[in-house]
Amino acid sequence: MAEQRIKITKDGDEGFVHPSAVAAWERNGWTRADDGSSEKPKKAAAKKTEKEG
Amino acid sequence: MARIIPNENTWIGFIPDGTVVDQKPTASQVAGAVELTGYCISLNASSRGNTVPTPAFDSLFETSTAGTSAATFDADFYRDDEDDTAWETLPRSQRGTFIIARYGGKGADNLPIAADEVEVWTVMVTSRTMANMSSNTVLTFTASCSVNVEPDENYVLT
Repeated sequence: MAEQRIKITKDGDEGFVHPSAVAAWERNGWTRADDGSSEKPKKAAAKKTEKEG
Repeated sequence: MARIIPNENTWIGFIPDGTVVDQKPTASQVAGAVELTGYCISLNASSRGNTVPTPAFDSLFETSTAGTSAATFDADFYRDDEDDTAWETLPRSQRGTFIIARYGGKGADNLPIAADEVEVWTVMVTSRTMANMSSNTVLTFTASCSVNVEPDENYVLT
């Protein structure tokens, strides 16, 4: 299963990190992007769609 | 010219996945990298090539031709009970780009800046393994990575 990745930004740059790594990046001046663009696991997303359907 | 050791010369940083485009990091991206220099004990970023034998009946000399190339990347880092940056930055499956300035950069504390030459290794962490815990031994771990993109060992920062 694909890992969820969190989108972070700093000085106009964007990147994706493992959820457990966010704190380390925040200590280095990166901020978590809360624009909903973080990548979710594909399987989980698919299951949610099935339930909704 | 001088023969140097990595201590107080080499600089190592890690940039998150999705930031570096086409193996061409910018100086500002390098400045925003998580610096791992102070945690690193050893680093093995090396490439190897294969040669394919091409002998023929008309010669006793066994010729060969160039085959594929591959690279390996693994490094040992310290754990830290106050600021566990290396361990937290490199969980399994984390993708990103290591910037290695073996001779350091011209910036503060050996930070590479524009016009400095660095190595660019885009990788994915495949395992993050603690070293055996034993008495009177500092806690360390090994991060092993797959090398997803052909590394650039002579990139000049812009």
